[in-house]
Amino acid sequence: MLLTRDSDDDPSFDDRATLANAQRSALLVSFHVSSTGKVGSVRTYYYVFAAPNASVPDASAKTPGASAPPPRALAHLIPWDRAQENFSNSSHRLADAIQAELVKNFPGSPATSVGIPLRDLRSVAAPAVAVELSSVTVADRGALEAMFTPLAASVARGIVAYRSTPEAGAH
Amino acid sequence: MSRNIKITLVFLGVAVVVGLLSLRGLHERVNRLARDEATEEQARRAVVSAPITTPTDAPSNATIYWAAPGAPGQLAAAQIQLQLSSDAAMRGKQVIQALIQKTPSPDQRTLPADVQLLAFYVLPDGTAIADFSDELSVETPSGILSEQLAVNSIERTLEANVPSLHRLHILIHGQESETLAGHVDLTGYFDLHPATP
Repeated sequence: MLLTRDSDDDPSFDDRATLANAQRSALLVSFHVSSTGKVGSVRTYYYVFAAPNASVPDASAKTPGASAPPPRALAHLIPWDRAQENFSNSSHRLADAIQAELVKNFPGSPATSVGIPLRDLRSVAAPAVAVELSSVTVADRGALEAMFTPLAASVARGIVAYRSTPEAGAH
Repeated sequence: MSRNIKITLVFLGVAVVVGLLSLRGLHERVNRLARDEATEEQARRAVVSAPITTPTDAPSNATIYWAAPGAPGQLAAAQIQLQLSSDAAMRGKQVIQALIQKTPSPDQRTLPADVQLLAFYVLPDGTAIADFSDELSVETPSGILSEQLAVNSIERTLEANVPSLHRLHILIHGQESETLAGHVDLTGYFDLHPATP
């Protein structure tokens, strides 16, 4: 396991993606703490790219959510800004597997994961998800810290569940 | 004390007195400038947030998506009466302005109270461009969930009221922004009326 940060520094999105992309058969889990939402609930997110816009003839936009040609085969060069696109399905499956475990330990969490374009996942060429815990508004910091162990256990079980599926190797 | 030192001290004393006198004037000028800036900002906001009316306005039932009361992290549709234009760009502007300004309660707010919709236009391919003031990124509470709610409330409000739109691009102060407030990617487009998987 590698951490993209191990101190109070702030590596850029691309620095984090570079570290993740240098690993073989890696998964990326990005952890966040929200300032809103029901305290004690957790959500898992995966990146969604916008569907190509049929009414736009030139679909070669450079931006991630923009209209774009279908994902390229892995053997070809992949635009850095769209690196996650080839892993959309596997990221979605990983997010659902983790969320299914989280909802057992964190009642009030949604049953399924949520697709939304998150910048820190966009350039990751591997299954990648973000997990966000609600929320920093708890009166007692200890209450938040008490969630860390069940959170880690749920994420670990979700990854195991994802790895055990036959589709885990598929993108 | 030599004559030169006395002359120097006199000059210094005069300089201090002149400095003190001019400092007061300077302070007043700075205050006046600050007041003028605030007035200009108020005038700009009054213009930008003025009700949008067009010749084709007609009373309509608008569906606006605010945060669901008592259900953190979720949106709920609310029906309100608005004067809506038949022009897609103006209609989009009207419903987003309602989303910002007519929030039923502070708990249901998805966009910062101070945010302004600076511009809203529609490209021929049905792409809507919504340009918000800096408050969208500065005052949106930190976290993926709050950014997701902000974007989803805009998307769903536009979907419900301006069916001709296909996708949405969000700008902040006229510029493409990498993220809304550190998480949600704003460099691309958001599908409106996405196909069910």
